[in-house]
Amino acid sequence: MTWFYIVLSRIHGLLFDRRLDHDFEQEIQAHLDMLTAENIRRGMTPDQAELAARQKFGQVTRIKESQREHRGLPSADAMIQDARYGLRMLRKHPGSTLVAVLTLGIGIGLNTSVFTIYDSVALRLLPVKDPGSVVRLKAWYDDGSRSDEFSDPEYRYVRDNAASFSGLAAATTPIKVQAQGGLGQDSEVLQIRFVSANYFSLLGVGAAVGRTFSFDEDSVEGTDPVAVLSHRFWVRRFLSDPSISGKTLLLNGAPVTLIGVAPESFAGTGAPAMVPDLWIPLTIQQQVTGQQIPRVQLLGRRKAAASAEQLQGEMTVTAARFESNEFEGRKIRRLTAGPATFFDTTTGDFEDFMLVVQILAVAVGAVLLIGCVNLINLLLARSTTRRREIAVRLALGARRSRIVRQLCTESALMGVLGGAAGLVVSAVICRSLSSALESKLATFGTGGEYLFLDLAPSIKVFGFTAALSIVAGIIVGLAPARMSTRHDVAAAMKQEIVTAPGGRGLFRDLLIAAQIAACLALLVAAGLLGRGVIASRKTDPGFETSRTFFIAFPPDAAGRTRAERDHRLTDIVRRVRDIPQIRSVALVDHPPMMGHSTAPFEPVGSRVTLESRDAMSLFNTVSPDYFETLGIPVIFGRCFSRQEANQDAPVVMISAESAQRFWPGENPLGKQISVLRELNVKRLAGRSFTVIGVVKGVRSTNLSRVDPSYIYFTQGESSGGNSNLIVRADIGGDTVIPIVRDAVASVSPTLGLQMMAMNIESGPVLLQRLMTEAPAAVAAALGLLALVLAAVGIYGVVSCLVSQRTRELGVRVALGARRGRVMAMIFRQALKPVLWGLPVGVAASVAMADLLSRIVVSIEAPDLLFGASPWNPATLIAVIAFLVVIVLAASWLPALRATRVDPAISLRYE
Amino acid sequence: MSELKSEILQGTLDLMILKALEALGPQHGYGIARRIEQVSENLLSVNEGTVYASLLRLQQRRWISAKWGASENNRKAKFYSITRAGRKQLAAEIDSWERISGIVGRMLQLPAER
Repeated sequence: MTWFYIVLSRIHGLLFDRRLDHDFEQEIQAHLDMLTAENIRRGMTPDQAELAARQKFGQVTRIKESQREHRGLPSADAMIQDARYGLRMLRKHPGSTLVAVLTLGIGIGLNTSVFTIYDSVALRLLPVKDPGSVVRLKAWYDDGSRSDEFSDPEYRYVRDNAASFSGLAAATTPIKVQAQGGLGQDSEVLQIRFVSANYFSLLGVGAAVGRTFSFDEDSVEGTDPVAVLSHRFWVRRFLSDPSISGKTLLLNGAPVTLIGVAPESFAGTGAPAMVPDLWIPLTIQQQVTGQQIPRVQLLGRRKAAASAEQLQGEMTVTAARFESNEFEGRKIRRLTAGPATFFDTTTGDFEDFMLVVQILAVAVGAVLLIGCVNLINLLLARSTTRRREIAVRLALGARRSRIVRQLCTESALMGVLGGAAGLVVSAVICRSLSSALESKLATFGTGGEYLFLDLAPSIKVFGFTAALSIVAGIIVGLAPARMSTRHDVAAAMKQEIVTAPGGRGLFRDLLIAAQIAACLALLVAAGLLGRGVIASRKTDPGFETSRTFFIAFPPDAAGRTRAERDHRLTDIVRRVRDIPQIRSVALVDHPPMMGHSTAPFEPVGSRVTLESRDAMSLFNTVSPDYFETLGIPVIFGRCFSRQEANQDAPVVMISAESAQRFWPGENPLGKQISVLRELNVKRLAGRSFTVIGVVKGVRSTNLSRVDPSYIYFTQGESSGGNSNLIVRADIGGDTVIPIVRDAVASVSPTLGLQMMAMNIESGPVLLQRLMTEAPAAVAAALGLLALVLAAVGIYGVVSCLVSQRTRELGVRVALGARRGRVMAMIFRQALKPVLWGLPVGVAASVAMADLLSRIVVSIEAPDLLFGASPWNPATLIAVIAFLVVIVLAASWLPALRATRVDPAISLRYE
Repeated sequence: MSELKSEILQGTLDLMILKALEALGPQHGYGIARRIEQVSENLLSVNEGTVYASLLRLQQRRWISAKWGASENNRKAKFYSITRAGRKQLAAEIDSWERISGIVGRMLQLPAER
């Protein structure tokens, strides 16, 4: 407790500094007076008495000093003094302060934005009460795939047997239903998640309006259908009507009573969180959809007493029970209970995301470094003008460390201001990013639910920014502070002008060289990616895209049994094919540019020995009409016949690239391809197939490259649960989809409702184009920003050089040097560090380009460079030329000023 | 060596001031200095001001409190008095002081062993 009193009293001492000083002075004076009076009483003269009293008391000043030191917080005291002084200095130079704060603000803002994105995707937990104790269950199958959806029996088993959970909540993935009601509007399609009744109570999510489900809302099956609205839906459809409770909606004709609205921050529990329109208890699911019980995602709340090991042990036992329960030909190998993160952090998509974040982090880090280098230069320049001040302080006995600390405080203060600006910059970036994302997703979305990506900064973001700002500020301040205190005090006092910058100049040149190198690398990356963008606009994928459409249905929606599903789908294909505007219809496992499968294959009788990488091929299963539908020409041989497809005949078609790869220079027709026994497609595993035809290679996986190898297997229209249709129409545009939907609805109204449809050109192809544009745009923006910063820096340094050399230049002009010579001299000096930086920059950009091209390791990866060589001299030379022009432009003004030097004035300068 | 000496001095000075305040009741810095001078003869003969460092330290720990008042000859002076926490501390310190000085004393009286 004592330390607490000490801190308290020291803070008190800090705050009432002056008054306490005055008090103490009085106290000492009283003491001295009493001593003096005593001495006089002993017979001394007043003068003697006072002198003796002072001797006896000791050094008054020193005692006062030590009192002051121990009264307040010594370090904080000095820091505040430094900060005050620093603020005064920053105010004194508003121009350079503004430049510094803006530079740091942009650099820190970019870094903060990248961290915000990382934070909200990778670190954020679900917006529920005590999210730390909530876990998400996930099943891992023996074919390596994973899923967070469980069947109804599995859900019941975990719910009734897991002792480590205080409760288990279930939620379906969104299901579409037709709704009527509300403000008397037309009927519309809503996205619904069916949830267990304990969903809201277990997660600790209260209602914004009305109530959420009571925990036994589902105890009586099929009664009292109720629903909770999402905040967004409530605002949209009911205009935030506060008296919503008790109103009804018709869902697929069945009345449902609305009981409340979920809070705005509650985005649901999917990963990623897609906010539905309504939540409805699972028990009335069949009443509304008339379909079999769908799979559910499971969230458990761990009991406080249950350890992680206990929980995992329980999961292992449960997984063993599930293993016997085979479904979809996959066996559950293990069950995991992971943290309830906002996004799924175990998928390949997440790994891609992390790769992108890392690349971005390097790039924005480079921009911040360039900015910092600028500021170092700025402070170095200013320290020249402050030499005298510092020299005076050193001469008066200030310790060097004290002055360094003071200068660092000043620059840390600059860092803090820059950090504040950075938060603003990052807020702007994040806001525009999330609105851009939202509008882009609206283009591709299926309507109804929307992706909830909250880019508001969290506490962690603020911490990150604060740390970054202070570190940046100190890094910026340290070197100039150390250098400016190293001056020869005597020389500085005499205002001696350092005409040859010596060691300091070298340091400055190195900084500029580093800036130029980083700039060059960023610009070359931007240039290469930009070429990719231009290529992506011109690239023809090799098949028809504008008049083809992708149509799909939810996997289980077509029927309860496999036979029923097959029957329905065959029916649908026939009806769609009968539409006059439709030329052909094909079924496919992976529609173009929407997913892919790869596996190693063994070409029988191949003369080349394939390395494991070359044996890999993309493959797909298509109906015979696929090639005609997409307009992919058959070069050799023939296409699948309908009979072969229906009978599952052992025949394949391959792309020209595969033929070249497997049997170079030979006729591939009649050759055999065997499929590995381990392939996770049971229908194909372990079989041998005869090549009957070769088709032209197309860009069906990535717009950026022709598929390196592609094998087509075939399948009839009435077998398997395949529900992905590719439709070729005679017309393009938006009129086709409603026509198809009507035809589907004539077979089954529910399927008509749940049908997903998009144009291949404006859907996946456009998405791929955007995905090439995004990295190029980011690289270009960062590159240009880096260039601007570097130009500002060079301008500053050259101006400083000119003003330092004013006297020398004046002498030269006086002795008859011509303007051109003077300017050339300044330019030479400005370009010297640039020339040092260029080779390093070239090396860095070659490494960068290599990295960009190295992303194309697997055959399914996109080629960011669109086939262009990473070693692209034209781009490099263009970028270097651009850079040199910018550097010359930046040093133009100061050089011009150098030529205007009036010898008469400059000789009197300073 | 001189540092160590001053450290010991500081600690004992604190102890002496606490004791003086306990014995004399509220007292100003001058009075405390006189009392210590009486007892210690010439410990403070040169540097009387150092009592104020001790007084500040004790005040920060809330072992003593201070109040402005009038001295015997009606001068304004700051009066210090021991607090309850200060008495407790004093008792504890006297205790440990006696124990330690006892041990040290016995130690110093040990005959040299061969």
